Amino acid sequence: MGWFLEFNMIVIIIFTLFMAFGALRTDKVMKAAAYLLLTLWGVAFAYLFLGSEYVFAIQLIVYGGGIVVLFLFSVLLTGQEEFQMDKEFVWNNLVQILIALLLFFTLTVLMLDVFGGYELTGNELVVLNETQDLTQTLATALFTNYNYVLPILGILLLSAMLGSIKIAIREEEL
Amino acid sequence: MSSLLSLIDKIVEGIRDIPQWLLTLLNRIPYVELQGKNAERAIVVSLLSAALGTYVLLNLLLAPWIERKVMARMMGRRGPVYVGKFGLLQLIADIAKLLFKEDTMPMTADRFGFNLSIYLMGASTIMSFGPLPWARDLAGTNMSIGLLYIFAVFSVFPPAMLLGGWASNSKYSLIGGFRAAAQLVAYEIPMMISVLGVIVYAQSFNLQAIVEDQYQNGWYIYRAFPGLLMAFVIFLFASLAETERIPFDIPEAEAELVMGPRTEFSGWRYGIILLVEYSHMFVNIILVVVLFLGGWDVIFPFNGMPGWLADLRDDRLAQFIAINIKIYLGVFFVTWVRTTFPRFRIDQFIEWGWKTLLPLSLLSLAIVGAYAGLYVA
Repeated sequence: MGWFLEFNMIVIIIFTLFMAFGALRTDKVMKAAAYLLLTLWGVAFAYLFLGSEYVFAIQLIVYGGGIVVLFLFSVLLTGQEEFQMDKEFVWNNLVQILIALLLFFTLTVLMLDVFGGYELTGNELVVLNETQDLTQTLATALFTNYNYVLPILGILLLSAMLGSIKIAIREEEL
Repeated sequence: MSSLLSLIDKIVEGIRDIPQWLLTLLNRIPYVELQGKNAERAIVVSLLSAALGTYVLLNLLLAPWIERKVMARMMGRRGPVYVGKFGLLQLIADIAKLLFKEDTMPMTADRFGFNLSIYLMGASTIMSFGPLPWARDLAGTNMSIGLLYIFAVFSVFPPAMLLGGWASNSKYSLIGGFRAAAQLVAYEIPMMISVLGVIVYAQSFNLQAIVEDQYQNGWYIYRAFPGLLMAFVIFLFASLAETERIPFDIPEAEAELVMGPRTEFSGWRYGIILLVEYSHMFVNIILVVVLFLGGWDVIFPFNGMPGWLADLRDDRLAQFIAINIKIYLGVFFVTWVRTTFPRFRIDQFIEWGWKTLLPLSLLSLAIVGAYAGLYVA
């Protein structure tokens, strides 16, 4: 059944990437949030197919539910439902692209460091019947071996928050 | 009588051959090679899961009928009588009507969000049927994270409501969507915290393990008194608020907002919304039964239990019937609440959630924690 899992994984990855692209390219903030919701669902199902149903559930509860509702609420309350895409190239864009590339590079290095030794063979099929001390294992791993991962992910979230503030802020008309 | 028995035997034999037949059918597809005991077992398990899902959907046809009948009697009416015996087929007629209606969408609506909200709600509702336990070893899937999974799947409701309300491009829908999301968020948190007490005792998210622990050591509603009793009451009210039933139907409030976030949905979309509402209610009732009232356990364990009762507790058919009786008592209770109380006001209600239920749920968790500490030591 290895090919079946790989096929599903590829479908999920393509879906997630498309939704992420849609979130970037749409002109309505509400729609972008909807695409974001679908992106986060795609990531959740990727977790499920990698055999970590616990992270799948937490991803759905925290990101699929809580964070997106927060986004939608703040978008509706700020009242700025549409925004103009930058049509021309400005110097600002270069800085943005550089920052994005830097973040991407950092995350890639991080991922390779954490998961570099493993090869995904498809044998990590979801074994939903297994009741092990999953929670304990996860907590130990997070706070001992990988304790530098969380702060770096925090930087990513910070940049995302700054970006959303930039989008949602109402420019004063002088 | 004997002819009936032979007929049942024939049916059972026919059903026995179905997995083998399906296996040969699947093997005819090019590049598919399914063989051995595991393949057959996988097919049997999927067929059983599908049967359980169908069973839940059939109950979703029966539960609204019971609700309408009970509600009508409480209001001094007769309820549905014309379609079928005792009006049993009324809901099927309603669904057929909705399916054949013209499919309309407001001109200024956002197509993407309008459709997405319906698909998200419908899919997540069907997904939530999976880990519900119906008897010992009888569940769609025996997930290790069953409870967490159901909450995860339900957590998509608030964004879907907000999105649907916004995409309809109508003021009623938008205000309704806001109210729905605010209410769902305010009551999801006390609900989850009240469940933590149960998880502390069961030491598992697995719904079967939770029921098994109640079967062995007693139902949770009377254990860790009064911690889990408080948790039960909080969970019950929070789940009623989550399903937006009548005393808590602030997002709908038909006198003010027509149908709330669902105002612009018609035809099959409205049918799916009805399905989502009823199954949300149904799954929440099942959760109340499973978490606090023993699930499929026939009667709570006590000392000096007679032998026949102990045998009955181990009988799977009795367990299945027991959980169904409990669920329908729950449906009756929900209907009773619906006909008795008037609607709350939005600000009172949200305040009640954040300022009363949340501290109470934390208190109940603290009480349970104190008991659990003694229990382990």
